[in-house]
Amino acid sequence: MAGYAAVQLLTWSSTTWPVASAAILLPFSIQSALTVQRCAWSNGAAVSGNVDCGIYNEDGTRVVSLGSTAQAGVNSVQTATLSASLVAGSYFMALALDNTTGTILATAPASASIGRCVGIQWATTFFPLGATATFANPTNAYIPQFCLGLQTTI
Amino acid sequence: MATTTDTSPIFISSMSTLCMGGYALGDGGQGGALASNAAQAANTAWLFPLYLPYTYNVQRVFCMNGNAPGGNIDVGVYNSSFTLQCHGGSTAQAGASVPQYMAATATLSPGQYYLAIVFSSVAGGTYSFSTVPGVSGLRMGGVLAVSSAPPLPGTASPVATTANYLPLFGITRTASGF
Repeated sequence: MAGYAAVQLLTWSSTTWPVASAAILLPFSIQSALTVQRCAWSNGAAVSGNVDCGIYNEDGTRVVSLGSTAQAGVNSVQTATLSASLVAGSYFMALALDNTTGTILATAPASASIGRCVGIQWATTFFPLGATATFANPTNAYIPQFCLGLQTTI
Repeated sequence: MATTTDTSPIFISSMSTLCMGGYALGDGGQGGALASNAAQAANTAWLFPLYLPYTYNVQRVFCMNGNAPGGNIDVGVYNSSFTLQCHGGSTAQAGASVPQYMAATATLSPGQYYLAIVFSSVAGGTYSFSTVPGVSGLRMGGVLAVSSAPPLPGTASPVATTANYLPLFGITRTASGF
């Protein structure tokens, strides 16, 4: 996303997931091979249902996903093991919730369409994360705070 | 899209870390949130420095239109000698508050370039920083101006910018979607 979140000044707030079972995919590129060991997301003031987190190739094929995982721990970072060896290239990192009660820390661009300009895509009705994502443009201005970790501790 | 082994980002915009050395990010405290704003001038092209550390296969250019599109626009890329490498051509601005894409193909080798945009009417506009970053700041970031109506000229003779305007626009190596 080329540092887009920094443009938004990192104003994160606890926000309900915008659409149940929608996955939000954020593009990223790596210049050398690396090994992902963990993933993490920031739960907001309410947790509910289940979360999934994963990595997709540019063409929408899944590299790895966590699988449906109970969202747990309000106002805290929830981590999980997610192992993948990535070659240099471009990918999407994906986060999905199966309900709109659970909250994630999120930042809101001025328009959902701004997300299109930095390559953000959604996959609707996509919980748990499946083998092939069908990309769609985002319908909400919502960028969740989550990450992939190269270390075992986040 | 290209294969996953392409290490370049799928979108590069005026807000990216590659443009003006990440000026939009470093100046984020001034930039604030993006909002729909009219263009600062008609028939003036603005050129924003872009450094590409990798080969970039441009398929389209884009402009994040504001909420009152009007007139014609053009978006393109100049090399460091100010020769136009690709552009969408003069195109009626259409679609409120959505990105407008124009086909424009070029294979850009690593190096220094300029992202360029021009409007035929101030009524048109884009999403841009709502708190303008300041003319001096943009000049320090390397922004230049060229007197021209759309389309962007094949060879540009830039002068210092006098505009307080940092619009959201750029290039993508995606041929469709988004």
